[in-house]
Amino acid sequence: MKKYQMSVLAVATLLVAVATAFALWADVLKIHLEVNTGNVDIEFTGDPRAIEMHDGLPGEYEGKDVASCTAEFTEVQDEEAAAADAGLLPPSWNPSSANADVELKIVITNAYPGYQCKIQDVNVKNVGTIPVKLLVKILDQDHNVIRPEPHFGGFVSYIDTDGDGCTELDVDSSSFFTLNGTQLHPDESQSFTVVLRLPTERQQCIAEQTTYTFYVVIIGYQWNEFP
Amino acid sequence: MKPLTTIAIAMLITAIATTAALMADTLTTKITAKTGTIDLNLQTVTRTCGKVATTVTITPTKTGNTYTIQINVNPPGASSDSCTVYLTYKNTGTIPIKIYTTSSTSSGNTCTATPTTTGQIHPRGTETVNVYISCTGSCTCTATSTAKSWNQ
Repeated sequence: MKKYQMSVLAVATLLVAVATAFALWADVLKIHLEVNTGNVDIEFTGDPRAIEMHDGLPGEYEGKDVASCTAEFTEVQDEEAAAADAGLLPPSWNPSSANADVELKIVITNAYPGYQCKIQDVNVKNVGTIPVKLLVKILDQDHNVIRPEPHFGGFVSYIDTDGDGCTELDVDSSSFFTLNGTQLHPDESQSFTVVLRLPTERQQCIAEQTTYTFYVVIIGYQWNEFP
Repeated sequence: MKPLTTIAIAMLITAIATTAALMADTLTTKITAKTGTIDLNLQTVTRTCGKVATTVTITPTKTGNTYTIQINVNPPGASSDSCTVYLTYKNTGTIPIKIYTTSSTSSGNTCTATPTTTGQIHPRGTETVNVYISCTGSCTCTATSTAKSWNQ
């Protein structure tokens, strides 16, 4: 009987020893991983001002008040939809990075060949947390990309807004295009001007009582994915 | 090992997702340019001649921003006479214009438009162009008036 008790005690001691060793082998180290993404966000800032010009001077030709030009920030349309229609946003684009931004709306009325309008005091600001690079494209009213026709050493960029093969507007090279490829760090901004002209040298393309509409889209890509 | 494997897979998925989802934001500028109109309308046509019996027939035709006015002068008995035709135009467009007028007739006769270029005519404003004709026998003068933007 005493021998039986000793055997039970020995087995129990062995089991405790094995269990203790096992517990050491099964110890777990836990790593907590948390990823907080930043955001890409750009917006227009400033106080857009439209100035009528002729021959590099302010005002209309001979000081007349014939046409008018206005610029304002307003909500016009879903800007991402327009950019997507034009194929400017790749399939990998994450729609959650878009937001509803106000747009710059420029309206010229009663225009004539030779009329010129300059919009200034406008900026693009990076209000997100990730550096962005800007891409600028011109779209017609059906959201097709228009390729400007550069002339005079690139100082004049004729555009054909109605697709009739005849260029009826000139977007000065200092406009928008200076933003192309610009990198903006968070809180940085870049100013630009818009100089529009109905070129007298292309007046055969400019019809009377006609409305010409086009869009300029500015896309802020995360800087390391700029196309 | 199992928890470490799970963490590794999770990190891989996160890396793939980060690479695939490109972030971009868009701003748009909408530009609308509405052009005005250049237009003129021949409001009145009057005439004076040296001889009361001289007949004058005036036929205006408009094409775009151009009026072509045919003026036939027929003095009595194939005699000579001089007439002046007064063409009063109105700027019916939306921007200031100038009117450019040319004239022609058969040789031996005279047909002169004055002024050949008007001053600026503002929208709804009027201006008169005089056409002087001197004929021996019947003759026809053709005057052509075209409106162009004042800044051209």
